[in-house]
This record gives sequence, C-alpha cells and structure tokens, in this order.
Amino acid sequence: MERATISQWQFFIITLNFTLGTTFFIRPGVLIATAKQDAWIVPWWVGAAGLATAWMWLNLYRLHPGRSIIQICTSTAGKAVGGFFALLYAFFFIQITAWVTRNLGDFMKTTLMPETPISVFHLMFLVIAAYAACKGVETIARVNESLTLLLGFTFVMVVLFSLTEWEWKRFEPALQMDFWKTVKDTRSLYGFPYMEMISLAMLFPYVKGNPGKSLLPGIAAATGLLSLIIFFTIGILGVYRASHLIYPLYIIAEELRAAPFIEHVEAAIAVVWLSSLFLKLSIAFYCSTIALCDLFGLKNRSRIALPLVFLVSGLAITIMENNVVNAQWDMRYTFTYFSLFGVVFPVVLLVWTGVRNRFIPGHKEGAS
Amino acid sequence: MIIRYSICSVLAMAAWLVYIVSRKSPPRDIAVSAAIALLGFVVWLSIVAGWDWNLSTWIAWIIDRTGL
Repeated sequence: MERATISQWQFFIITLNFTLGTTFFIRPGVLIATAKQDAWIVPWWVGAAGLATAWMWLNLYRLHPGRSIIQICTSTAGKAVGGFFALLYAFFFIQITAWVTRNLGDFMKTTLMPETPISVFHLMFLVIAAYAACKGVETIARVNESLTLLLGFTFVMVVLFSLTEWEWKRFEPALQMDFWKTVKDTRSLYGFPYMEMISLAMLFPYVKGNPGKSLLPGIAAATGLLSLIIFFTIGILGVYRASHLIYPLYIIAEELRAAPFIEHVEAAIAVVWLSSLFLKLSIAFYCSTIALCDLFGLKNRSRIALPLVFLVSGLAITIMENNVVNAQWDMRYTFTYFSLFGVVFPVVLLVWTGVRNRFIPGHKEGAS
Repeated sequence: MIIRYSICSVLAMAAWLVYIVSRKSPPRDIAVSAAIALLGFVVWLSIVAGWDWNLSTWIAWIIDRTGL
C-alpha cells in the first residue's frame, strides 16, 4: 500500500468533487423533468439517505481500521468468498471510471467538438488520469485543492451574470408533487452519485484521523450545492426548457451575456468545468488502480495503469449505446445495481464481521 | 482493419511487456498487467469488429433474471 496521507480538508474537497463531478452536468435536467419546479428539494432526502449509507461504511471501516474496502472483503470473508466480493468491487470501480470517461466524451462531442471521434477524448483524458494515479493520492488531493477555487469562482460568475433571466414565477405552483411517486421516480439519484461514493472507501486508509469528519460534511455540502444548482437552473431556464436539455447548465453558460462585447464565453467556461470532470475521473481511476493492487497484492501501480487505460477506453465506448438508452437504463437499473455495492455488500460485511468478532475468539479486529 | 488493429495492439502489448520485464517487475505484476491488457485487447477487438455487445445490457439482463 502507498505510504501517503491526505488531510481532512483534502478528503473533504475530494468527496465534494467526486460527488458533484459529473452530477452537476447530467442530473439537473433529469430531475427537473421528473419533479418539475420542486426538483431542487429532491437532493435533500436523497442526500439524507446517502449520509446514512456513508455512516454505515464508516462503521465498517471502524471495525477494520487502516483497511480499504477490498482488504476488508478479503480479511473478513476469506480469500475465496472475500476475493470474489473484492473482484466484484474492483470491476465496479473500473465500470464507474468507464462511465465517467463516457460522460466526459459525450459532453465534449455534443457541445465542443462534434467531428472528433469520441475515443480521442477518452484516451487523452485517461492518459492524464493514469499519470495522476501513478503520482499518487497526495498529488490528486493537491490538484483538487487548487482547482476547486477556480471551479467555485466560475460557478458564481455564471450564476451572477445569468440572474437577469431569473423569474420567481417559474417555481409556481410550488410543492405540488406527489411525494412517494417522486421518491420512486428519482431513486436513481441515490445510486448515482451517492452509492458510487463507495469508491472513496478505497481512500479511507490514507486520511489523517477519522475520515468520517470529512466524508459526511463533504456529502452534505455536495447535496446543498446540487440543490442550489437545480434551483438556479429552474429559476433561469424554467421547467420546460431545462427538462428538455441534456446539459442545462451549459446552455445557461452559452446564453450568458456579461457585457455587449463579451459573448460566447461558454467554451472557456466549459474548459474550466471539464477540469471538474477530470478531477472525478482521476479519483475514480486511482480507486480502480489501487483496488486491483490491493486485490492481487501488486507493488507498483504504474505497471497496471497503462493497460487499464486501454481497457477503460474500450469499455467507455461499449458501456452504453447513446444518451437515450442510458437515460432509460438509469431510470430502471441504477438504483438496484448501485445499491448492491453501496448497501447490500457492506451490510453483509458488517454482519459477517460482527458474527466473527462475537463467536470466534481471537478474531476481534480493530477493537480500539 | 481488424488485422491492422490486431497487429498494432499485439506489438504495443509486447513492447509494454518487454518494458516491464526489463524493469525487473515481480512476476505477479507482469501477470496482472498482461491480463488487463489482454482484456482491453478483446474489448477493442469487439469494437473494431463491430460486435454488438453492451456491458449495461448484460447487467440489466442479470438484474431482470434475478428479479431484483
């Protein structure tokens, strides 16, 4: 395992960027289409569920201090069964990396460079992410720290200059949604982004002190920001327009007029926002790499980083046909599939650990 | 196209393997690296050959079959 430590603040920033990374681009349109003018409320209850689940992961980590989720699997359930769980987790992390890569490629192809083959974007970003993974978690944490300020500044500027389009009547009639139907229809938000944050359990051993002190506030802050982004999207674009767009936030930037002589700033803004997607990609790629290293007991991350670029860039192309099919898949399967890794397996591991600690003498791990 | 892709990929994988072997990497590192590269090769071969397969569809099929 890499000998590195990241501070609580750095882990907070990593959590924030990992949660919001692709979510702020993709989710607002889908949520507004489902919950209409009340969509900004949805992240609150889903975020609360996400916090509860993260608390469970932290409890699991408390029983196995200093171990990643892959190591917890193998140490709890043994080499055969635990190894199988760990293999599934490693596959899941690689899949998340492929998904993030595809989202990034789709965004570039749809908005900025429609003639360029999508695999070019995939390979370009993945090579940089692999380089970041080779350099280690401290480097990724420092890049996160330095870029987050720029990202925040860009968001604030876009929102401030777009406020001229704001209309309060776009929120009317307020609080008209059928609560349980909306909960059911928006459950995929619980899968993506909250359940995919199980990837961050790979980073728990590197955090100085208790990772919960930065993970939970990170999730809460990301939830608040997501709600705020949806709120502004509704206020500026309205429900009808926002729900028919794939990237409503990009359209807000596209229509932004800072002054009569400053126009079409969307390309510059998109490049800054791309860095947010890149931060998420580099974290996901790093988690995939160390998952494989932990699983197979490898010494050097760089030996698998390059083949992994080859694999992930291919998977990113085959992972979905197009945005429409992906939206349908997301509605039907995201919640179930992601909950398997975010809830079911951790609960099984928690119970397994509890039973071992209680009934098998000499197996009490991390009791301190 | 497929033959050209296969030759290029196999050459690239061979070069990579020569590199990591020359850096005296542990056999386990070499084996895992080669296995991942091989998987990547198969995935890219399927793309170049135009085989109609989709990871998400497979997952959806498993979820549907298990009744989740």
